[in-house]
Amino acid sequence: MTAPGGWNGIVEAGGLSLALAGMSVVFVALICISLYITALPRVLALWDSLRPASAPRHASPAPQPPRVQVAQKNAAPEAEAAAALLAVAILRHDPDAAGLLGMTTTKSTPEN
Amino acid sequence: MDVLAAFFTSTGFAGLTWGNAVMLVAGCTFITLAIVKDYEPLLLLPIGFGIVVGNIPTPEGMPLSVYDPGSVLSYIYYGVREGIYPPLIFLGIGAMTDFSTMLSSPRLVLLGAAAQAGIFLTLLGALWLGFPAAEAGSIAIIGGADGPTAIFLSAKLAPHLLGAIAISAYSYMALVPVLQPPVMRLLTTRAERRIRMQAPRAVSKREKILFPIGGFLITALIAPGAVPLMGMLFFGNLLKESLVTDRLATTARTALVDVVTILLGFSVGASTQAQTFLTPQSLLIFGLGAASFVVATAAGVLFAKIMNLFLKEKINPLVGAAGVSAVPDSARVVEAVGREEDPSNHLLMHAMAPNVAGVIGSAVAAGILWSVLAK
Repeated sequence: MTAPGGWNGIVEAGGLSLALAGMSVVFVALICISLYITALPRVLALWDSLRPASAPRHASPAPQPPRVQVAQKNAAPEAEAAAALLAVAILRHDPDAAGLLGMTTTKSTPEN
Repeated sequence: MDVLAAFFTSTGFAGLTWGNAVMLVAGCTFITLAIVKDYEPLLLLPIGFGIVVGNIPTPEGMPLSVYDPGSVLSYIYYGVREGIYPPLIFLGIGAMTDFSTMLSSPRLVLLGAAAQAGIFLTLLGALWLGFPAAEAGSIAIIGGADGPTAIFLSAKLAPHLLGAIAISAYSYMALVPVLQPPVMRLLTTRAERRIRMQAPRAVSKREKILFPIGGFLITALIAPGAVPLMGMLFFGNLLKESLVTDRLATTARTALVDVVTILLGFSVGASTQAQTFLTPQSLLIFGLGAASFVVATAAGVLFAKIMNLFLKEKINPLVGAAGVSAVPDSARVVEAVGREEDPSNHLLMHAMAPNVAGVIGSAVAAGILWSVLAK
């Protein structure tokens, strides 16, 4: 501590001007940041409106055809397939109805 | 017998002064505060143990202390002396900081600027007390409530005061929950403390990615002295937000920042040898540090009240207190003081905006002081 101190110390070191200028520069810097982050969403919206429509880079890819071939709806005649499914369903779940249709099946028993 | 006597003179007991004893007690107090009170344990514990290590008297001719060329501790202290550790810590801070709340509330950024009044008013106070300009600038930065920034500037402007300034800065940062609430209550009415603020808007990913780039260009071009700190802060944040460097961001915010915190805290503590630390200057530095925290808090709160004169949607003035950096402790204090008045009013998210703006503001202030006061 070799400086004179007191009001003279502040004046000799240019303290007042440094404090005022420093505070102003800090404010200018943060005001600029404030303006930047205020403008940023608007600039991005403007950019989006000017840019030709294109798929976003990170959008989910278009669905690929399955590698394993599955049976298509028209792979078998519709009436035949429906009848086969109906028969299976009746045989498995309703033996009485199967009898009405002229089909025989074994009745399940509690032991089964 | 002569051998025993010779051995005794080489022990720490022979060279122990009352100053060393005081510092050993101070070191143990730091450790106790960290463990028992949970006050900034990640900082106070390494610093406290460093104080203990640094105040063990060493025999003549043995290079052991941080000030002895060639000693192990001097190599660890090199990162402090040359200002290497603070930018690395800023890298980690950038990689762990979410600027969303600041991006969604641009007006709250100004509170981070207002709180820097603590730095510049303390500069005048230090000059008034007779400190040379470079020392006054280093002491003033304590008001920025940012340990790494204080160490960085002190290393550049007044390395001989580094220990006192670093200890003062970190002590007051740990005491933020004690220092700030009385000032906040004194300067606000009950009705003001109950003001509710609108929820912040959602921020897009692109805004988060573009902010660190634009933010760095603005601060670096306005205050080039802040480039080492701002560059690392925004670089760390870009690592986090870009989503393409997750590994780097994770390392920066965990392993890297932890390693540097250990080295910095310990070596700063070890630099506080009684012979260099226990001086009237240190007492003045501690006094000025406390004053700068109070002034910074008051400036943030008062500026929020001034802004309210012109705003339709009022700001809770408590949020202004978070402008004093000290992330995230001062934001937590704002939340706690706000909830005392209205338990359902959550101010934490709003307080984070001036809080992170304060980090930028204090680094810019350090850059200005460095560029003007460096010879």
